[in-house]
Amino acid sequence: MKRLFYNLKITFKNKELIFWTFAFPIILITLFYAAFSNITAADNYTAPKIVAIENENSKLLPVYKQIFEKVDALDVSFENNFDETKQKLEKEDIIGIITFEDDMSFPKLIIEKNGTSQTIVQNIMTEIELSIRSGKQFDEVKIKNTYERNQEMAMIEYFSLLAMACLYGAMIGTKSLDKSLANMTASGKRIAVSAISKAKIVLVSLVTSYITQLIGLALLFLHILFILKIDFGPELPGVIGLTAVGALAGLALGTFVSAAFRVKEDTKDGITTGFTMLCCFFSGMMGPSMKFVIDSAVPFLNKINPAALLTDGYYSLTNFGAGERFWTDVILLLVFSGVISIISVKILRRQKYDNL
Amino acid sequence: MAEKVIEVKKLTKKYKELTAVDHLSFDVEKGEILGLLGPNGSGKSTTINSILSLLTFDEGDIKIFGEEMTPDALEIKRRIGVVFQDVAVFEELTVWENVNYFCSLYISDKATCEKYTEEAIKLVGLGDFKKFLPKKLSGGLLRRLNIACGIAHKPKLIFLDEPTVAVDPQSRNNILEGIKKLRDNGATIVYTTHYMEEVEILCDRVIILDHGKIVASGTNDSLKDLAKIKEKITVETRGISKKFQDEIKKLKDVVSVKSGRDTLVVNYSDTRKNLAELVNLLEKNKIKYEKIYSERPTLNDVFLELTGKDLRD
Repeated sequence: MKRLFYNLKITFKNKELIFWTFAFPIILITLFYAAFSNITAADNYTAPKIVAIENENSKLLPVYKQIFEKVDALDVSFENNFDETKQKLEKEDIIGIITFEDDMSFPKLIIEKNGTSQTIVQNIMTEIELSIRSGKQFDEVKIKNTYERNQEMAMIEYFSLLAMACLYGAMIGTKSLDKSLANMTASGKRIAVSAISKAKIVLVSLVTSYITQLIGLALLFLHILFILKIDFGPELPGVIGLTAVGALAGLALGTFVSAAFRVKEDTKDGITTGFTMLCCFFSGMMGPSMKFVIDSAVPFLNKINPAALLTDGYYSLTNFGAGERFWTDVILLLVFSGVISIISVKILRRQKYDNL
Repeated sequence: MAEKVIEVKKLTKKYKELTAVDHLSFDVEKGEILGLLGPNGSGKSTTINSILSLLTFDEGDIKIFGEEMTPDALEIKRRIGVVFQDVAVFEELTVWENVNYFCSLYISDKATCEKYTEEAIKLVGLGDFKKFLPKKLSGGLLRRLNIACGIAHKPKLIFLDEPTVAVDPQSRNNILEGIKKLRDNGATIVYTTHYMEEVEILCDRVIILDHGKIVASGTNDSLKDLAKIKEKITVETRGISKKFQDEIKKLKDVVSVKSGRDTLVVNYSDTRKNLAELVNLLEKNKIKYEKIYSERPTLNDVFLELTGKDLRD
């Protein structure tokens, strides 16, 4: 217990490590939230509120009124007073204002900020204009797909960020185990000649790392739930459980990097960060289309990519509940963690130093 | 016959083409301080790391306390303390916590561990710095902390690998005093250094290593007896002519005469009335000098004579 306490103290006093594993995911998720502020996992979609200003001289206003009645994706009301409506926009009571010019001029959309809802409104207005110009029947399904696809893309990026936070725990695992390896640090050399078995040293290191990681993820979730006020709905326990499994995968990855690579500490950090980012890239963090490309072209890759498994796990859980797809992701994550942990232990047990 | 704490037989360690330790054999007896002396790269640290099972080695047998030393020999390790050349402490823990942490790797009882921690801190004179973080300590104090971390669990066998490198004179004296106390408390000590003065002060027996081989071994006095030079007389003077130097060389038992800018060193192969004879010769030739003194050869002289190199090369 004493060594566990000291190990935790050593880990928590490493400011650089704490920044990258605790603060960085919180900052990044806050930025993501700012960009996709209307999207939450539980509340799939809330139609953006917009106000259309009446204009008796507009010949297109009646056409648009008919279309708006069919479009569930928008919550449109009609007002006469532009100034009062503008105040509502400034107070953020509404997302945008649509103004109609005389005769056949197409309406203009006025928005104050950039965001997902604003993008959705813009897309729908464009679709409506195109359908009127082409003289074709307005396609409601296409409109629905537009916003659902936007939502899906945002959710994948959002979930892959959670996956990144889990896998960043690899850094804690690597640093913690490195402190106990004779070829990495002077203190590791001292620990290696002590009367403690290697198994105990590794176990304490793993427990320390996992506790640290769970504390970091708990802070991230507190931030998500109480500061950003994102509601995961009834699947919250499942999301937390999947995160704990993801943390385990991150820890196993960190242990593997520490055990398998006989390189300097900085190089190990580079390997850990690089691998994590690559996994997150393939899982859709830098552009959700990548996930679809990998899913269709090399599906096996996303079955062994812990970030992709986590992203898919969150997505399937929040959209379809804890079904077969979710549990497959969980099992594959556990298999990934188990396999690389066994490899790490075997490497550590065989490890003898030719030089120090 | 004294109990053997360490038995090393034909230890050989190679790094590709380089043989760092070459068929090295030696014993360490209970209660002695053995000095491993040699220049950088002579194989001192490799020998210690091999004995501690930190390194694999190519040939040889190593026994500690009569048992074969392996990485899993935890009961043997429990009785060993190591102070490495590199300071091995955690920057994030205070002085007290560092000593307590490393002591806890050997002592499971909390109260005993805390008692030993206090005693180790007292032994190295860090009582006023218990709550300091290592980065707040001077180089000398940090070295003392390094020692405290290695010996807090009261080991019976202690390896000290160049513990006084880059240490101020005050801390050096404190460290050397601490090591003497450890020996007085019954510990067997293996001390590696390239400072011959420390070896002369501390060690009961010395092994001189070069290129991974034992060049000479024995007590300080027996090693000095190995040297051809038995007495060294230094004259602090200026402007000694070549002719006068040749005259000195004709004196009995003179091995060599070395002339520096302000000194003249005369080496003798025997200790007779050399000093008086040289003083008479200087006065007879009306040569003025500031000081003249006689010394026994140092271990450095012995090393120089045996290997042709200075210990600090």
